[in-house]
Amino acid sequence: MLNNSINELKDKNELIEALLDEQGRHLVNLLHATFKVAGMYEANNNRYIEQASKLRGILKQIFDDEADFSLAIKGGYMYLNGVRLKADRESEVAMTYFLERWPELGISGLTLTSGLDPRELDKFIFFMTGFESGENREENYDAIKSRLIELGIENIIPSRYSQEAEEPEDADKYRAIRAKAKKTFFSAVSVVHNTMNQAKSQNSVNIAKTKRVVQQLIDVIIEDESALMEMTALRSFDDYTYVHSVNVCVLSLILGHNLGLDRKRLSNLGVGALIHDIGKTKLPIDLVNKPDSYDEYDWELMRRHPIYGVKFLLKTRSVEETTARATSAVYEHHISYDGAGYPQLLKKRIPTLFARIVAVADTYNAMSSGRVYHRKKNLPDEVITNMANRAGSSFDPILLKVFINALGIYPVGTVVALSSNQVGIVTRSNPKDPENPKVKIVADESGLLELDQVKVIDLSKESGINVTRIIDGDKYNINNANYLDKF
Amino acid sequence: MPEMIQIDESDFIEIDEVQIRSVAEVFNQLIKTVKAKLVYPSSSKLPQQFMEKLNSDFTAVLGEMDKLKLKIETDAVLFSDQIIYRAKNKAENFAHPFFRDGIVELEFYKGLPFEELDRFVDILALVTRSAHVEDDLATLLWEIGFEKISYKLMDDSLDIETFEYGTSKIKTPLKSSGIDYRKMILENSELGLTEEDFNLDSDKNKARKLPAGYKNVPDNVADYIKRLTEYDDSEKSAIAEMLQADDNFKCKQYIIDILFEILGAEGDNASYNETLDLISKVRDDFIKAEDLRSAITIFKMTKELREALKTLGDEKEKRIEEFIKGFGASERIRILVDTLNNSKDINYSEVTEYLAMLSWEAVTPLIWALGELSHYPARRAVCQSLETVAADHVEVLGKGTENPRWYVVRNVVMILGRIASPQALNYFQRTITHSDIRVRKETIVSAARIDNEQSANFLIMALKDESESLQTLSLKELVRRKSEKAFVHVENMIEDKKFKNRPTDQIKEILEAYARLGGKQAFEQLKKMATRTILIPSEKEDRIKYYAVMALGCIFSPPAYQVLDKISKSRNKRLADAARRAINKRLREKEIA
Ligand SMILES: [Fe+2]
Ligand SMILES: [Fe+2]
Repeated sequence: MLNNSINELKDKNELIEALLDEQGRHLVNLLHATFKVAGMYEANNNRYIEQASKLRGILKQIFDDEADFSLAIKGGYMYLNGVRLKADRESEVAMTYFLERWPELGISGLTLTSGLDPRELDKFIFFMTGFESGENREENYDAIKSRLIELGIENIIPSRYSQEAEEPEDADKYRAIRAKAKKTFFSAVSVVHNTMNQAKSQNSVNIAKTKRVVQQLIDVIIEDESALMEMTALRSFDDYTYVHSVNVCVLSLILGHNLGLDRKRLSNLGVGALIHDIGKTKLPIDLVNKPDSYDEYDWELMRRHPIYGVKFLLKTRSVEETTARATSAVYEHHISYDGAGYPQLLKKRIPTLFARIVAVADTYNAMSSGRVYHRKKNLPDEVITNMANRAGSSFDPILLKVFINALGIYPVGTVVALSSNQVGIVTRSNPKDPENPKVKIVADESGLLELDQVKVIDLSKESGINVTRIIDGDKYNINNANYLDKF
Repeated sequence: MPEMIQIDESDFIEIDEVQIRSVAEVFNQLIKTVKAKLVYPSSSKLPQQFMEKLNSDFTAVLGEMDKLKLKIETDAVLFSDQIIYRAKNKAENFAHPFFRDGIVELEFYKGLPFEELDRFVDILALVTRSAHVEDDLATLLWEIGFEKISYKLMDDSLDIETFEYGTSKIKTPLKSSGIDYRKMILENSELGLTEEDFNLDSDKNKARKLPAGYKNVPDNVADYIKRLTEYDDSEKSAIAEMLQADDNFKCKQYIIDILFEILGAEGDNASYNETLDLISKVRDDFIKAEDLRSAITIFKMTKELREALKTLGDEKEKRIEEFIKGFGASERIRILVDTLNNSKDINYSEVTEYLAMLSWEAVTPLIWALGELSHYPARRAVCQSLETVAADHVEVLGKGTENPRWYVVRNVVMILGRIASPQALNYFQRTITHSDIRVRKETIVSAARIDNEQSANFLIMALKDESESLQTLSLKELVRRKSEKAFVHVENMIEDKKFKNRPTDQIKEILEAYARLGGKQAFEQLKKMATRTILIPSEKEDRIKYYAVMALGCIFSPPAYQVLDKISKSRNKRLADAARRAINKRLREKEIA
């Protein structure tokens, strides 16, 4: 019996929601249409009178059930009394209008109370139609609010628009995807660790497991590239080789994804990238982690790691697509676009697509982390400038371009100084406005902020705040890892 | 009657049961559809009909529940904790391909499109059909990227709880430690910044339209960075071409190419040998995978390499020579035999092509293979290639006549005959007395291919073979050769007391051969046989008379004609008829001659 009544309640709620949804879309359409008509006709024009009466009709309908109600925007959707309105084709234009116009006006919604009379409504319509908004949202809101009081409009109350009001919808999504990204990233590090150890001790490699983790990485990338990109910007790991492998894998996948590779190819590319340095397991361990610079003999040995990798893979695997593709990345990732590099080719040729992709990702990560090959750590602008300078010789110019575009001019994780005298970490790039990414503010003139003070701002929406330069976070105790949970 | 519409608990249970039953039916239909795809050709309408039924079943079930969630166990499939499928036995376990690959849950959502369901069924058919699929079911499903089908993997290996990595290790305490952020932000001299860098309107960067954060960008790069976000038409088409070129990536050819590239670059002996071993391993893998085409490519490239090294006078040529011999080593032929015995649809012309490239050292292993191969086309391929491979080493091939298996001996005899080397007759000496008639027969056929005196002796020997059909066979060949030597042997056959007991076709054959080989010499004897008067002739004697008349038609002399003419007018209707036919035959043969 209890079950039944719960079900009944559930059904009733669903009915109410469906009704509100329908009425809400109706209202949005009519409100939008009335604003438009009011922009063209006087209040006594028949055209307007007709339109306004339709609007009153729907308002009356809603007031029949609800004493007051609010129409609001949040996270790209419109809500009537908290019920999200489905965006159908008929109401699309009207909704887009409010979703764009209201933030400019500094309002996030309207509350209508049951005392509303037709004269009040007309006044409101014509006032809003004629309102000239300024640059500043806050000022717009204040102006509207005080003017409505002056006009004696008491039953239509605007609420203030705030950036935070936008957040909750996205925040949940971000939180979930960032958590998934983090988990998958470390799973991948773990798999690489095991794979490399297995290669060394048991002389075998488990491609199926590698593939599975790569596919999980791809799932995350398809959903949101920036989540994993942020992980690749972390630098203070002890186990460089494993983390480097995962970073190269993630960066290769991001490049491949932006290039338009299908899932199957992405998965093969990812496997190749993840094990691109597997040949290093066949080198003496102190060579790989050698802190001193190499002599000629060391270099010669080091240059053999692609061939060691190929031999290992072909010895332990049969020649199937994944193995062959991975082998191409292992063999050619140090060969330049123009055929130079190592191992030396009998006849110079352009490396395979996968090798070219991995080469870009590998160099970017190696230069950014400043380990092994490139002793000096380089900041993103230096790396990108350096690599851009070698487009067409070391790197496939188009792949490099797709890569830098995917990363953004200020890649996720870049520590930047802002014109507002704050320091931020780039957390998401704006493809339409690459120079103004979203950043987490982690320090200001007074010093590092406490974690709970760290906030994300969108530079593309903050007028007057810009990036002035890229700085080295390590030098100023700014550790990206501390801020992973802020987005 | 209000109580009619009252709902009590039992109704709910019933609805559940109905639902479970319909889900079980959907799953059953899924199995049927997969099987239909496996059994019927794609041109058949049946799989399509099954597919349509499956689709409408799914639509019906999903119409009621939005989401269909199935749990997979080792040998069963469950829906809302009820078993809807249980494997009948190990061989036919439909839950197995899922469970084996770690799929423990499947979900189908409302609005499942036909195409997704179709691809899902295709993948199931693929993994059910063959164990040779490169990827597991989970990977294959993942690659499609279904929108309305999802699955859950049991994958403890990726559980990071068990692993030491995590952000906790790399987090650091938040402390400013005496850094003057204000100074850093405003005056960072370490970066060599000037007042200009803080100025957003810095004419330097602004003029070049570079991002404010980018310092020290050379002019050539500035241009690249400036037009980073736009792709012109040539770049767009370059991307398209790039993807298309990648479509044509030939995995196996690539691997073969780089193996030879690596081999060519190897400096020391140990590495050189290591790479050769690897090429050998890859070649064996290809053979195991029934890809003879790729194995042929490796073979050809190895031979080309040997030629190149020979030209260069490189001592590595010897090593490659050894390597080439290795292609025909017995352990390698064993791999090939296993493949051929287990394969259903291997390309036999490729098998022949591959085998024919082997050097003579492979002859003995190949003879062994003849005894092991279970499919006829495979044995035929080996025989065909042995004609080439053993052509200059008949002495090695001849050893095969000692093989205990009669069919191996027969094949060897056949190949010896095809090679047609006079040497082969030495081995025929043995095989002509082989206990198995099929070997002896093959010996005659093969000896017939070698046109010399010695082989004629074999054929004459075979006239005494215990098998009368073999006697006839060699007789025919001797007649074809017009062997004079054979005449006396044939005469002996006719004079034998048991001659009249032979089967009709042999009597006909032998008498005709006698006539053709002897010509005039045979006339008197045949005339005697044809005109002998017996008071009460037995059927057997009658038969001899009849065929003697016919044989007279093969002697082109006037007396022979006269005898025939006379018989044709006799009262014995049967003999007269035979004589007329012999005359006609004679005329026809004369015309042709
Ligand atoms: Fe490398
Ligand atoms: Fe690397």
